[in-house]
Order: sequence, then structure tokens, then C-alpha cells
Amino acid sequence: MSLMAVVFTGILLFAVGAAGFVLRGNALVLLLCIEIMLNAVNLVLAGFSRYLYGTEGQVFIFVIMAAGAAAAAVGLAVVAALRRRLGTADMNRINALKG
Amino acid sequence: MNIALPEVDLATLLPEGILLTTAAAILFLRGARANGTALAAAMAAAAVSLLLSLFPYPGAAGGTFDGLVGKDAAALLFLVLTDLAALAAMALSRQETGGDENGETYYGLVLFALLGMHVMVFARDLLVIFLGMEILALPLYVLAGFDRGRKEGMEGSVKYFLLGGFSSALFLLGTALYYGAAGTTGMGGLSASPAAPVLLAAGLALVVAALGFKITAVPFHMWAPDVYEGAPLGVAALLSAAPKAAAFAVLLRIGLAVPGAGTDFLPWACAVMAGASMAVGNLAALRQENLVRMLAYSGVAQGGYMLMGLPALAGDGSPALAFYLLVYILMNLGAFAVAVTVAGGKGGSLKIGDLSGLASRRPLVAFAMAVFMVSLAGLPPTGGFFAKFYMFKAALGEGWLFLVLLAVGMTVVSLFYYLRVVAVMYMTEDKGGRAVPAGAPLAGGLAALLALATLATGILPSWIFQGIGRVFP
Repeated sequence: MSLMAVVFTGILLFAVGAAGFVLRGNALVLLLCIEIMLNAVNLVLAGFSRYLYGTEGQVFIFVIMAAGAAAAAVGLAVVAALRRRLGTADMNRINALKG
Repeated sequence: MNIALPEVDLATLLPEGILLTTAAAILFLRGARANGTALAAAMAAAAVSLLLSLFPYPGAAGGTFDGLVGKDAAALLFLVLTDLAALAAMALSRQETGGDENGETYYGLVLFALLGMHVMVFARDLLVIFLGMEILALPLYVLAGFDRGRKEGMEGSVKYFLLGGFSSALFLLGTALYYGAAGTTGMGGLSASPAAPVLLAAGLALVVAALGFKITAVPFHMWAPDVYEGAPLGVAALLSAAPKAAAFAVLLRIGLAVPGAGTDFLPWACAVMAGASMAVGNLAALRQENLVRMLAYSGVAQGGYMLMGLPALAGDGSPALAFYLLVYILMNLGAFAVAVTVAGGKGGSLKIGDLSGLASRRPLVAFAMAVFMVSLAGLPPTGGFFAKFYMFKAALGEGWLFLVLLAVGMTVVSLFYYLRVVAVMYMTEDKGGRAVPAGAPLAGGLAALLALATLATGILPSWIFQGIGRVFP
């Protein structure tokens, strides 16, 4: 396992998340895609800190996990409220706002 | 093992402490009068924070927390701008929260968002800036859908959350790549040329793109009109101005702090975003019937004019940008204040046609709106003219002739939709269908105040501009 392998795996994972974000429509799946992207970033940071710079980058991971958890809490609440109000969480079918 | 404790000087963070404690305290308010108390407490906290930054106490400026936090004169100026925008936005929110049993939470959330903007402005480290962005964004996701009765509000809130989360992820990947190239997430430690310029460039490009979401720069602007239309008017007013000020503070810091190999694309990237924002924002605003959507696209265009300051940082770019932001906050929040006074509970679905005959019904409100529209269009004698003048001059001084030509052309285009509002107010008969809403004295007073301020920035521009110029080294 070299640094490049870890970093490229991370970037590939990020691309998977980003592709899912673009292609899928359900708000909950989009939330999952964002989580995939955040964890891909964590992998990149872990790679850099393991092979190059020491423990600092691993501390960043905890900061990102905490912020990601807070964002997921708010996001789930918002998506649940949307689903209760409109009966669906499919963003392709929700289009009251146009122009 | 030798652990050096970081130097912690909490006096520097006094305004943020006040904001945080007030915001937390507001969440515990209960009872019939909680709403009014929360509004008063939140506005008082924001006003104190504004004054503490405007008239710095000893120790207000300074670095602390091992260099993660650094308040210099420029940071204090941007703190004043964000506080001003938040203060005005809260004054516009009285009607929105009146009938809601959880109305007091609204003001607590606005204060938390303001705290996040403070963190963004004074942070010297990309990871701390990320935390500031999250503290700013999380309350705003909730606020955007605060009006649970409107399904547009829920839709806008979810769209804002999803795109905001996407931009956060981009910012983080950028931070990680920057860390890989530089060995630090701090923005000061790059005096030597980095080991991997390509990695650094990729990281900074992602960071700038994520900040582009916050300033609604094209191509990252898609969320803005939908979110503004669905959100309560006070939140739309806040969104249109305050996060822009914070994000521009970060962009200035990145532009100023990271010179050298791997960053030479930044001026061009900003110039392209500026040109695209001006073109798309102005052309899309032309065909809007909804007043709030028109203001949203106008905000995209105005963000484009402001972005012109970044390629001109070597010259007068930074004071021109700060002056533009000040004027933009005054005139844009003024336009929203007028929208609140005439909306009468219609919120974001207010049409431009609803303003017809306003000049005969409420001449003072119509005059204030005319001042804001003329200023947004960039005509003298208002502040908007001088904001564009200084900005174009700064860009010309650094040789961005084509950008200035595009900006001038787009300013002419923008005359059509800004002056159309004035024409609707003054030249059409009142259809008499809609009753004139009586209330909203706070918003009306704010509109008057902001109209005077917009005119004042047009009368004393060089005095203000020089005052701002002293802030930047």
C-alpha cells in the first residue's frame, strides 16, 4: 500500500459519491452520497497523515465526522419534514419552484 | 513528550462569546412574550457585536489559538458588515415569526448563523473556516424552511441542504488536497514554494468552487432563486447578503495569503466566475415576474461585480470589494425591507406587478424602493454608482479591460429590470384589488434608514472609501 494507492482510492470513492449525487433523485440517497463523499475525504486525509505528515490529519478526521454527524441530523429532520408535507422525497418529482 | 499549550486570549473573542451565549439562552425562552424578547435580545447581541468591531476595544484585534484565529483590521471590517446584514435581516423578520409558536427559535438560529460567519471571517485555517461554514449553514437550512405552511419553503430547504452538503464535501476534499500539498491547513505557512503545485492548485480550485456556492457565483448559483422564494423574506434577505460578506472575506484571505506556484490560476478563475455571474444573473433577472426571484438573480449578478475585485487584488481590489459589499448590504436589504412592508404575508410569492400604483398609495415606501433600484442599477447619485465606479477602476488598473467592458454592458442590461420596478410603481394605476397592509413599522423604518444610508454612501463616497482603504495594508 503506497500513499498514491490510498489517495486515489479516496478520490475514486469521492467520485462515486459525486456521481450518485448527480444521478439519483431520492433525497435520502443524496444524503447518503454526501456521507460517502465526506468519508472519502477522511480516507484521503488519513493517507496523507499516515505517509507524510504525522497525526495532525487524523485529528481532522474527527472534526469532519462530528460536523458530518451534525449535518446529517439537520438533514434527516429537513427531509423527514419534506416527506411528511409532500408525501415523497424524490427530488425529481418535487418541482413547485421553477423559473 | 513536550506539549506547548497554545496561547489563548479569550478577550479577542468577546463578540463571539456574546453571540453564542445569547443564541443559546434564546433557545430556552418560553411563554407568551418569548417572541418579542428573543427579537430584542438577538438584535441587542448583534448590535453589541457590531459596535465592538466598529470601535475596537483594547485587544479586539489579535491572533490567538496558536494562529488558528486572527483578527486584523480587515477581519473587523468584515465582521461589521456581517453584523450589519444580520441586524437588518432580523428587523425584517418580526411579521414572519409572529404567528409561529416557535418564533423565538428563529432569532436564536440567526445568531448561530451569524456566529458561523464570524468564525469564517477571522479563521486563518481552512479546517476552522470549514467549521465556520457549517455553523453558518446548519441554522440556515432550518431557517429556509421555517415557514412550514408553505411547501415551497420545505422544497427550498431540502434543495439548499443537499447542495450545501455537496459544496461542503467539495470544500473538504479541497482542504485535504491542500493539506497533502502543504503539510498544513493553515493559510500562512506557504511562503516557500509547495512540493506539489498541481495538488495545491486542485485543492484551492475545489475550495474556491465551494465558496462560489456561498456567494452564488455562476455556475454554483442554481439554488439561490428557489431557496429565496421558499424562505421567509427575512431569511432571504439574510441569505442574499451576509454569507456573501463572509465568503468574500475568506476569498480575500486566500487570495492574499497564498502567492506563488500552483495559485496563479486564481485570478483567472475569479475573472471567469465574475463574467459568467454578471451575464447569467442579469439575463435571467430580465424575465422574472416574481420580485424575490428577480432579487435573487440580481444578487447573482451583483456577486459577479464584486468578484471583479479578486483579480485586482494587487491594486485597489480589496477596498473596492469591501466598499461594494457595504453598499450592496444597504441597498439589497433595503429592497427586501420594502418587499416586507408591501408583502402583507405573501412572503416569497410577491410579484413585481403587486407593486403597481405603490407611489400613490404609499409614496415614501415607493421612493425608498426607487432609491434602492437606482442604486442596484448603478446610477448616480446613489452608493451603487460609486461602488461600481471604484470596482471598475480597480479592475482597469490591473488590466482587466474585457471584464470591465462586459460589466458595463451587463449594467446597461440590468437597467431594464431595475427601472421596470420603478416604472411599475410610478406609472401604473393602482388596480385597487389588494388591501394595503398596515403593519410592519419596523421594516418600514428600516427601509427609510437604509434609503438614507444608500444616499449617504453616494454623497460621501470618497470619505468612506478612504476609511475602508486604511484597513487594508
